[in-house]
Amino acid sequence: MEATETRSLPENAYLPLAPGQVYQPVVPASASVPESTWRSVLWGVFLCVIFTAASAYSGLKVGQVMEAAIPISILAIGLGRVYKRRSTLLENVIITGIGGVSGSVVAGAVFTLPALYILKLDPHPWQTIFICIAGGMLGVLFLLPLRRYFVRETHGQFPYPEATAITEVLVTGEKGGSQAALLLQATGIAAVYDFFVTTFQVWKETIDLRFLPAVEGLAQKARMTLSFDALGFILGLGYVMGLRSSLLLCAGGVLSNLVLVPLIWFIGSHVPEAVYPGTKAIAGMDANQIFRGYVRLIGVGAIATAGIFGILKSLKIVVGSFAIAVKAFRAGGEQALERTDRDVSVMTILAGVVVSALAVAIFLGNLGVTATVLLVGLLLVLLFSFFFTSVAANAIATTARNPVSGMTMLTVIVSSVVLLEFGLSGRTGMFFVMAIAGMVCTALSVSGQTVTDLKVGYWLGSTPREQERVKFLGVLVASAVAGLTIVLLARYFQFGEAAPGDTRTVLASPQASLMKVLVEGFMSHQPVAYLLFAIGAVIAVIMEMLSIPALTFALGMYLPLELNSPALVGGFIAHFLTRKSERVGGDAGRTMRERGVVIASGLLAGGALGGVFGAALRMIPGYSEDWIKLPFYDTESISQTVSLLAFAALCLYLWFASVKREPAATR
Amino acid sequence: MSPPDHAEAGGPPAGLPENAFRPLEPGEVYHPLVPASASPPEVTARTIVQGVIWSAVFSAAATYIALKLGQGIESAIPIAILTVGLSSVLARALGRASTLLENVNVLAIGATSGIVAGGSVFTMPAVYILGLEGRSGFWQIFIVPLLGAVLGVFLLVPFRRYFTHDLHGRLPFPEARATTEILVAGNRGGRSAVVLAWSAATAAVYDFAGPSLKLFADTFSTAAIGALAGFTERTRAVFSMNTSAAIFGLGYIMGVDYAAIILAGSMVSFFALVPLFAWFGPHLAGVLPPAAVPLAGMPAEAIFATWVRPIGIGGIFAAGVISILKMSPVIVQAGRQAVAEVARLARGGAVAATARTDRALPMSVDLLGIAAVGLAVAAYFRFSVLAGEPRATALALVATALTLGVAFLFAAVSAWAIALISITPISGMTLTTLIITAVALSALGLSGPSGMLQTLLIGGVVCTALSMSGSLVTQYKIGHWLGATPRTIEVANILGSVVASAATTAVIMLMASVYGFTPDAAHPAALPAPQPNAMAAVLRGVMGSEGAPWFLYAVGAVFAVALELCSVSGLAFALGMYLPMELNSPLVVGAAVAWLLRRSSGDGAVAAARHDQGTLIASGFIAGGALVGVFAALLKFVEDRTGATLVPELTRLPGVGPWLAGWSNWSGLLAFALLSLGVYTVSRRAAPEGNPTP
Repeated sequence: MEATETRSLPENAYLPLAPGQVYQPVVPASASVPESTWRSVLWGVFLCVIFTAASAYSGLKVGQVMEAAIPISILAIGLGRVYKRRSTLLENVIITGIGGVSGSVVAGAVFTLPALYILKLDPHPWQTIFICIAGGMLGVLFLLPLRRYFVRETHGQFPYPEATAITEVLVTGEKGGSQAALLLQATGIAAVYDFFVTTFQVWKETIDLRFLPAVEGLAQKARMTLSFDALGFILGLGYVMGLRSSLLLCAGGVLSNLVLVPLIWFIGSHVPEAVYPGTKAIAGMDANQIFRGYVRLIGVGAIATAGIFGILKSLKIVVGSFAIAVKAFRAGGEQALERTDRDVSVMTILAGVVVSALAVAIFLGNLGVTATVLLVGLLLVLLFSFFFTSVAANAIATTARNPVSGMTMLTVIVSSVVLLEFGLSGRTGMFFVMAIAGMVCTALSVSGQTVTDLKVGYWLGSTPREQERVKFLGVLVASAVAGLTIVLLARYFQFGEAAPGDTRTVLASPQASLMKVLVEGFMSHQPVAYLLFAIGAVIAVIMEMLSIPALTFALGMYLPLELNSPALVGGFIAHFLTRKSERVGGDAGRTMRERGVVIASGLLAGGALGGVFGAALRMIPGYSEDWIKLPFYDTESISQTVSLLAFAALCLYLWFASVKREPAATR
Repeated sequence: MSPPDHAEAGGPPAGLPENAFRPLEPGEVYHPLVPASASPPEVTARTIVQGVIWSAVFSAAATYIALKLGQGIESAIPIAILTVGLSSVLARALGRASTLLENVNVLAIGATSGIVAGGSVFTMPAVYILGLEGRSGFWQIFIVPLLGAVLGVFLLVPFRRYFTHDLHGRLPFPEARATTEILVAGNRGGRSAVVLAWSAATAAVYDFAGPSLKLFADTFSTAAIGALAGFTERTRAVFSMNTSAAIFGLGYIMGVDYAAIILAGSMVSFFALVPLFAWFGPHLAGVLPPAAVPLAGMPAEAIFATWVRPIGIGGIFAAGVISILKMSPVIVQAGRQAVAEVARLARGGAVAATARTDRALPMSVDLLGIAAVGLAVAAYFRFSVLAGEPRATALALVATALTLGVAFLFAAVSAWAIALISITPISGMTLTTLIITAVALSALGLSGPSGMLQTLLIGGVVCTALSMSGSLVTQYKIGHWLGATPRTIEVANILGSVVASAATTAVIMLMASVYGFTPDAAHPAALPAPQPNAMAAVLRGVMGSEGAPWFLYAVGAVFAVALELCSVSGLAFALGMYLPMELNSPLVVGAAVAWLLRRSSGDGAVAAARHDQGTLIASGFIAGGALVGVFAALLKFVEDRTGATLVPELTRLPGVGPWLAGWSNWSGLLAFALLSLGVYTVSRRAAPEGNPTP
């Protein structure tokens, strides 16, 4: 078999299509290229196992889950060159697809399952593994009917930052030449930069300018703080997202951090007691604590509401998508559709949902609850998974970030409130609710990753069916490994905070600790901060009224400001670069835009690699951040100024390397 | 506010030469509709009488709307329609129809109304808000807009040729175009005038029956619904809606995009921020400044007025500054052009004009006029405002220089902005003026009440001057298209500004006495007056001694910035946050009716005709509703002074009274629904021109 000739992405890959225009992928629908071969599947599974185990450890220890898909795409390119027959582009898509599941399954698992151990509910290893598998399967199954909407019908409307980076890596890596060198260069720079900044104490990663008296005064008196996470990864992200999305994201962050946090402090500093859900008096909280304690909940309310709007909007196309699939099924197979639009059949999906639902029902039934509670629980799992699947897909497609913990919190809260009505409480209740949350959390996390994967496949010309089949395999493998890792770690470590009399080492698992606090509170009949969610909902409605993409805004409200502000810088660079390239026009302008996307993708890829290295390094016993520590690190003013200058240098690199003309392209 | 959409039509309307709207070829000359050689009557008794009446009437209406809703209203177009309509009546009564140029002059006198009102309403009520009314009577408040308006005329005179001749066909002049089309298409204007008149009458009756006679409640509120009492008590989230025809009309003309932004602002205030404050109430035993009573027992309106409104003020302020920043390219361009033009004129570029259509006030008169206004301003400041202050003369000179300098710059900017997009950021430029002036005068040691008053008056003069130049450039262009003599337009504008200043000042003083502009013990139901409150807040902050709620202002300012990031108009949003919910929600109803009418037919011409009919009715509603509002205030004023009951309240009637009162919340909603439905049904009957009305 010969590898087909590879080409670059078509001009209209990132643009909305004109009516009647059709997007032709890199590998055309008519070509049939090896996709899921032994090589691609086995390597995918292998990488999936490795990354899942590593990611689970890192997630439990510091709450950071590795970004797996981009590093795996880079590895896939490298692996492909080892063989006599170079892997095809589509084989690499498969490897990335299977391997990429790892991070998402882990995110779902470590955000919830350790809570079961912290609460001393002693889950059986099979229960832990089952929760992961069931959630992952539901996530993939519910996303598949949405594929046509998110990937095909809305082509060019979502920026898909992560999928863009993977696609650029795969295409340029395969193509070689000057663009590949550029990609490699950007990847290298960002990898080194992000690795050193996040792993060691070279200079401050986060810039908040609080060494300036005026800024510190603002933080003290008004709890208004600005912060800026100077990383290459986020810069690249902002570039690919574009100006409009990053502006919205930032606007949401500004509303949360500079309006709501100060306002709550303004009122709360006069309140002598702790106001639920906070645990201490607001007067003693800093801006970050107020944000986490109250404003984030407003953000969660906004995300959920914006999600409902998103579903309502996509409903027509989802139904249409189903109709197409059903019609094709009736017409005797799906031969009528072209290769690049062929999904797993509708019957398979339905059967999968039914089987999963039955399995979940049996699982929940074994927890010793009444039939009514069992039914309600099952319904909650299915509804939440279905609903959040599309929210997650939308969020990933716009901002490359999945509001996993927010959605899971909402699941915990709503499930608790509903199940309390049906008389469930106490330890059984906690287990039951956490099991639901674990499944939903894994489902939405996996679905976000799956939509990225399918978009990559769409750009490159994969057969969706092939991708989907191996996705199930990936979920199975990753769930098993993630579950096992947690079971193993639970034996030798303890999660959350050190229990009295327990001398085992503590793994912090921050997100799961939060869930534990929530579920404990509810199951012991604490009041609910409905009002904060409702305010978030009102804000989302208002944004819809103003025809602003509400989900992006809500995500901005929910995510910490330091992750949003650098994206804005990237967005501005993209904006000005596009304007400049339009002034230049012609091939030179086109090259400029291409180089910009390649470099930004390189920054994303490098940042992800740097993060993976950093996580790997943290597994070394005795690791400490001050292994490398520059003398001025602790002096905020110098450290932050250096960080600022270094970030500015990174921006200048992005700009000048993009506008630089290759000798051939000069007039 | 955008004019009705007559301007959307493609080529020039019947009657205007083909080259009216396009740049001229080299050597080509534009011949107006009335040639320079002809000299039909322009200024006659009828133009002056009509102009003065319209000026007074529309000034009063515009002042009322601006105080209540913070919006300027369109006066040129309704006046054009009414003038054209009256023309045929006058033809019968006086034996001669008004000439085209007479109508242009009526417009020139009358259209100053909206301008002067805009200039003075945005600033002068702050005198009352700051408690400085003891130091200024009718004449002081009257003289400020007058001086400003006259200054605006004189400052623009040298640029007339530049805007009308040199840039012929290069600037769109949307509003001038719409007005010209109405004046030219005479008989269509006749029919429109009838619609305008009866819709104004309807609105007047309706808006009198509700608020004054209490036939139905003028505000629908969920707080008055028994079934929702628990919810309201817990969350303090209240939805309310005024049922006035004037606000409905304003919303119709505003359009759905802008109205939605305003309502969104209200929703943030009433559904997000007020409940957030109320949520902390039960935990808060003490008093939260700047309130004097515990938060726990406060109703939604009180929470709104105490904490949320200042947030809105901060937003209005920030949005004003942002609008100036956004305009900065225009400002730079306009400033450069103005200087170049002055230099050219100084080199003797001004040729003595011979053609009638090019005859303007001579340069010498103009310069004398500016000098005279400058002297008057200086004298007024020195001997009235600053009398008794140390270094009064020096301060007065600085103040005068500031006034003239800033007015010159902003007058040019405003003319440009009007010519380009027919909107000018008046409140933004005025706020900027206030800040510059306040900082400069503070640096010279002036502060306290005198400082605030002085700054405010400079703001008032500049604000009126810049509004005036925006209006005058429109009229110059109309005159240029139709062939009027520029000098008569200039004189007419000055005359108009005298009338308008008087009417505006009278209404401001009436409203201050009857309703007030900030809620206090004497005036519980104060008019919102958003812009003056923002101006007063700035002055209090920079020059006053009492502590301002800086924190809330700052939060509001950041909020406005966040919205600008989303490309939403921060000014509209902040206005929405500041104004009470009940005044904003009906705007959306009006806008929704406009939206429905525009989509009521697949045939574009039919839909446009229906929408235009609605626009006429809405204009009538605004005028009628506003006038009856002023009238009601006047009645109340007399009632308060004399103790006599002039307006019977129907709810006090024996028998039906209690029944009316009990159902008033719902009957108000019903009345408003019927009104909206009525506008929709009547407008739907309109047909495009040429077709008989079915």
